[in-house]
Amino acid sequence: MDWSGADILFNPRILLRLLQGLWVTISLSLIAVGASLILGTLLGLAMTSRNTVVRAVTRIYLEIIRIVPQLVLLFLVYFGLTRVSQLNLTGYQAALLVFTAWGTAEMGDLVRGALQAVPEHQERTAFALGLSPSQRFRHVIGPQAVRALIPPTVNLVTRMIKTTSIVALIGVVEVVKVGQQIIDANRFEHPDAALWIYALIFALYFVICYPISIMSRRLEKRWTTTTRR
Amino acid sequence: MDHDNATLTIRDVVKTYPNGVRAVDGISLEVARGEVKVLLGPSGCGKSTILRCVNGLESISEGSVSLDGDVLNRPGMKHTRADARVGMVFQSYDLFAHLNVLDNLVLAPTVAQRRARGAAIEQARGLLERVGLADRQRDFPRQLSGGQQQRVAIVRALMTNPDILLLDEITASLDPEMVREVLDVIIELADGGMTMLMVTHELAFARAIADEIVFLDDGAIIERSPAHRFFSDPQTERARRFLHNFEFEDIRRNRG
Repeated sequence: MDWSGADILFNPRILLRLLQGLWVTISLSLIAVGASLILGTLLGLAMTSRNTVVRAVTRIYLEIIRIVPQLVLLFLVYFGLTRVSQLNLTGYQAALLVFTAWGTAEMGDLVRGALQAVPEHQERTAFALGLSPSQRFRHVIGPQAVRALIPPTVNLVTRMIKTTSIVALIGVVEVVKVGQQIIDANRFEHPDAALWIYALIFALYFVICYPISIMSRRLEKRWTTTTRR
Repeated sequence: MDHDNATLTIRDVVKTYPNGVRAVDGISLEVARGEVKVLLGPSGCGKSTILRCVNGLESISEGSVSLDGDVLNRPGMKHTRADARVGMVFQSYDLFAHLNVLDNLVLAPTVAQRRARGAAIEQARGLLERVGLADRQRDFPRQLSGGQQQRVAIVRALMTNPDILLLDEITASLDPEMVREVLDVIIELADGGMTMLMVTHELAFARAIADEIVFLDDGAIIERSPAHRFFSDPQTERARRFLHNFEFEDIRRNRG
């Protein structure tokens, strides 16, 4: 195998451009994930509400967001919504909106599931011990739901980070798009650039996502070990 | 009945579910301070429902429940939490899965009663000692056997210093060899003068510990007798038939 093509990775200009693209991916993910975790938790609480109207509305929201592919949502907001509403959204802003809406829906459903997975007798026992509703939530239901939430949330976060690559299709130049541009621009000098550039992008995604799963494994371990303090 | 001395008074309680089922159909009974009362009866007779009506887990349709004259439950009363003077232990132990033994025990005293953590820990250690689990303070519920979990659950119910303890079939989920260790704790509590109202299917235990047996069927009291008389000489035909379910002596003879 000819390794000489790899020298494209040592071109500082190319590296800098890739890192700029990576920053778009990271900032987009960071904001969308952060907002989704907060809004999704609120949505999840609403989804366990006793009010049937609230439950129905949140359910419909979840189903709509879930049924439509993220790409279609993206096109809908970027090409459709902006036209109809005179709203002037950049591709990046449209992407933020869509990813937050999607992440919120998915997170909401995870939170709902985690809350409902806490056995009912835990609440009943806490009631019998004289804990008020807010004390029951804070000390009994909440902590158990959070523990159950960690693995699926990590899964969602990494899924969101990876899916941000589709924003290239509405003209946002994130890391994969930068990679394509570099490959195209160097077609003649570096015919096998695709291999090296995509391999690097692969490694970059790994570097972002792996620490998240390490962190979740640590948390899970801490919460399941025998002795604390 | 000596009403003046009554700790817990259940008066004409009716519990009707929205589907029309009358789970409790006009029950009155008193549990005096230091008394141990056992509710017996076929499954679905309403005995567990009565316990839940006492601590507010269940609303009631008619009647009242009071403790030393303070109303614990009456129709239309909204319950957001149980009265801390009523402790309850359930069939399935229900320890808080995310907390170790010690944290399970100090949660209600520190959070619901706002007592100092240090004092609660002190109390918890003393009680764990008494039920033979002093060395398991840091263990999580899933690391304990069913019998051990139930002993912790009893201690947890005692941590709020209740005036009365409600026990709802606390040995029904246990393997037979673990039943005794749990019942021994209850016997010790009874000897210490704890007021208790319990539902159990351990007839020999009920006979040994109860001051009075209250036999129910279809949500109503059929018979109440001192424990020794109830088992040897039940006064009603229904109680006789119920007790007969637990006798196997003549089966062997008839088959033989």
